[in-house]
Amino acid sequence: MQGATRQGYDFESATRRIAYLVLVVLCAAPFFVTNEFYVHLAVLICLNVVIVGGLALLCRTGQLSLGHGAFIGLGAYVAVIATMRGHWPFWLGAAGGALFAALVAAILGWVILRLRGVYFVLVTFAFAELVRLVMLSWSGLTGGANGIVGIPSATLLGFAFDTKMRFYGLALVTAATVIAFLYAFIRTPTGHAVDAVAENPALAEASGLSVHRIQLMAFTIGSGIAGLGGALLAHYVGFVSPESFNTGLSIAVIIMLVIGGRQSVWGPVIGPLILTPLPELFRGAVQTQHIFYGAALILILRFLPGGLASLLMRMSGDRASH
Amino acid sequence: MDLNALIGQAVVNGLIVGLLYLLMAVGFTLVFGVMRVVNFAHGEFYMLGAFVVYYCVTQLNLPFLFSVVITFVLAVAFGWIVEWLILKPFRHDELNGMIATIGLAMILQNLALMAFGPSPLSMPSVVQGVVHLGSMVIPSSRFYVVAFSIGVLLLLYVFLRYTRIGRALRAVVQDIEIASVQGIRASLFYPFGFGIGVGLAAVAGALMAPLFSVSPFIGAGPLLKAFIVVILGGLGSIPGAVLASLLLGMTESLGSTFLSSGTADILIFAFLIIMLVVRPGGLLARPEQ
Amino acid sequence: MDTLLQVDGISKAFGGLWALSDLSFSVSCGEIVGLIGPNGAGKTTAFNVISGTHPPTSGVVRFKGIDVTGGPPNQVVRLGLARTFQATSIYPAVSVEENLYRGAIAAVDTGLFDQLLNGLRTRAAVARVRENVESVLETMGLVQFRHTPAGGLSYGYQKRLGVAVALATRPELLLLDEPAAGLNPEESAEFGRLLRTLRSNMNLTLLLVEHHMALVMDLCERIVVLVEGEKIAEGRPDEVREDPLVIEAYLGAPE
Repeated sequence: MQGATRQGYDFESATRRIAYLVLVVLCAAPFFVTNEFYVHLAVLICLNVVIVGGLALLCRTGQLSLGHGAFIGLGAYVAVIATMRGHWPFWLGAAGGALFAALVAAILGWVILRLRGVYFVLVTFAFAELVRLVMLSWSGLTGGANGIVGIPSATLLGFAFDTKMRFYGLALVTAATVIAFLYAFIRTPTGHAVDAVAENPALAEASGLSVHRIQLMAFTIGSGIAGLGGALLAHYVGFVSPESFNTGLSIAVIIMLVIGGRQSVWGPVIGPLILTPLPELFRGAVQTQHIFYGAALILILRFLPGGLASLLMRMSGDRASH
Repeated sequence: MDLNALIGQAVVNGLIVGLLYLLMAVGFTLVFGVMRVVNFAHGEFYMLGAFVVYYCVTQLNLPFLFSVVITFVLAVAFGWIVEWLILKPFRHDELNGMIATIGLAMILQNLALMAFGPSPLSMPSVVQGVVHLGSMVIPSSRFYVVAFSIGVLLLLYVFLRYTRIGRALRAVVQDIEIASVQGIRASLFYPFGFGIGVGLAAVAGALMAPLFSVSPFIGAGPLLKAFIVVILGGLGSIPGAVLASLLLGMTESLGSTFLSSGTADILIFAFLIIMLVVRPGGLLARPEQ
Repeated sequence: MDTLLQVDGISKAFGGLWALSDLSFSVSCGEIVGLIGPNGAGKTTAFNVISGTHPPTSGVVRFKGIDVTGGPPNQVVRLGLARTFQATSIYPAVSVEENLYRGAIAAVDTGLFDQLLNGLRTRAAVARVRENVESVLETMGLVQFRHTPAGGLSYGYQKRLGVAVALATRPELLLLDEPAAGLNPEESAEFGRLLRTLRSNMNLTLLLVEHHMALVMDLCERIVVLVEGEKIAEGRPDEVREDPLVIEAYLGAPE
């Protein structure tokens, strides 16, 4: 229907085809480049897609978490401790990390999700601080301020993801799975319920939907996904410390999500895609870079609240919010 | 030092710290009450206040108290402009307004980093020596900070209670619709309320500048404390902020005297979460919250 | 006739103010009952208590014999008690059809896993929901607007949509909070006809708060009169109209 009524050039579906083509090329490219740095960037982008995707799920219910970094960290630490101390295989450790993060989110969320949105954000901020303090203090388990070094590479069935290129394959598959999950989720009845809760929680509640339960589910799954991202990140970087997962990380995730787009399934792709390589552009002018982030955030919120993804959606004729 | 003196010392230190927290929290809760925005940049105004006073005292050789007044005036003006230029679209848009203030905080902190560099600077202390209260010893500088803080809070109280503008501001905080009906120009009160709120944060930063170092990074700690205070005391409640900040200051002080400071912090957070289960609206919440 | 809703001794205080004092009445299956009273009489508060949105300070609400005092609202709805809001509540950003879909979706109770895989149970549940949406669209006369964004509808149709969303939950008892507010006499009469049709076609019982006296007198079989939180009269429209207490408190001023 879209755009096909005009004779001649169908701009909208052409845009869509080009976008998909670009995506496929971008995904495949790191397998063919020789410069390791680009592969490294690609890995980071994929891991960010996972992490931002987790936050996107929570954001869809109308809540915002300033503690996302803490759940990334919980997943990372649990996975690493399980692998290095407990000698668990990588995949079990990563799953354990994700599940632990989800469990903590479930408990915390059950307590605090009945708070008004604003209180919820404040408490996630405070909770993230608490987690950081625990990571610092419990040095017997976590290595304290020094963190844990020498994390072995991820291995699956004997195959070691010890080169950047190999890990990129793992990261890409994980990112694609998360996006596919989001895509499917949005279309389920629960996905529609989530949109209802975000747009008019009182009406949703009056229609038989439990706002609390839906937000809790999104918070739990989204934080679990963050934990998974953290586990992967830990095995890639080879090192974790409490400062890696502080509020700065939570804010960075929010920036990627808001600029990418909170409403669309492509937001968690576009945000990391554009923002992860950005430090390169600024060539070490860190302050200018952060000022740019702050300004971009405000401008997007003001003029393009749906993020860059909404721009893309408009150009490709997608009138639905997905 | 015997136990009583130790406790006494901790209590006094706690009250001092609590007063600073109160200054931060009152401004924070005022901004929320007026605009329904959680101001993430609040800590950066604290930081800027410290820098202004540093500059006034060390570069312009102005007296300390006068510099604090200048800081307040500049902060109110700056806050007014910022609200009007940047935050206006987000009035009453709680979620997006909050995210916008995150952006604002990043801009302010990094501008400060570019202008002043990351190294901490130290200001000469306002007064030297110590004050003896019974068997307790308090550095005079802290004592003066307490005196100034109490002075500022009293001025604020008088302003809110007895001046026409102050009463109007309180009315806006309590219920903006009713306030509009009473003819109060709500649109003027947004930048004004924001200005006063961040002005208080700047004053807190200015008062603390001689006690601790001044750097672009000093805003984060007070911001967190302001969060805790308003969670405990209830967002938008000034009496709640009073109770909660003093409680927090004392708990921190007693906690770090008798336990390690890390443990004290963890306990505070745990208490916070328990509080939220029991009384989600804050310590002084009405049951209908 | 069975009692569908039993309100027993409901009192509700806000701070020192008693919004409701010892309110008791009942609604039987298939009735259309009106709740009237001057502004501030506590009618919306009564709705909030009955629907579980606000717990009462004391008293009991029984729906189909089940104690539903205190809610939570979403569970009360699942039992079959739905309500509309005084300020029209819809989802303005999405289409009319999507509005109804969201209203009906609570009926799908398959797990997320089954939903993600679009399993058989989910597909069956969704099909039932789609049928439900279709029938509500038709009954409420909204078929031609199915793709229109709800925010773009006229005021009258938005109100209608608000009722439709409540209907999508397939209630047995529907609480309507000032459904005719802002409607002119003609629209109001048409709305009354619609409500009667709903009552018979969908086996619905109606309890409405209204100020449009003409609509109330014409539509309701029984009327409960609330003044300052207290019930001062109850009965058939002609009885209530003659009641001196009611005339004094309320109907004295021509509507």
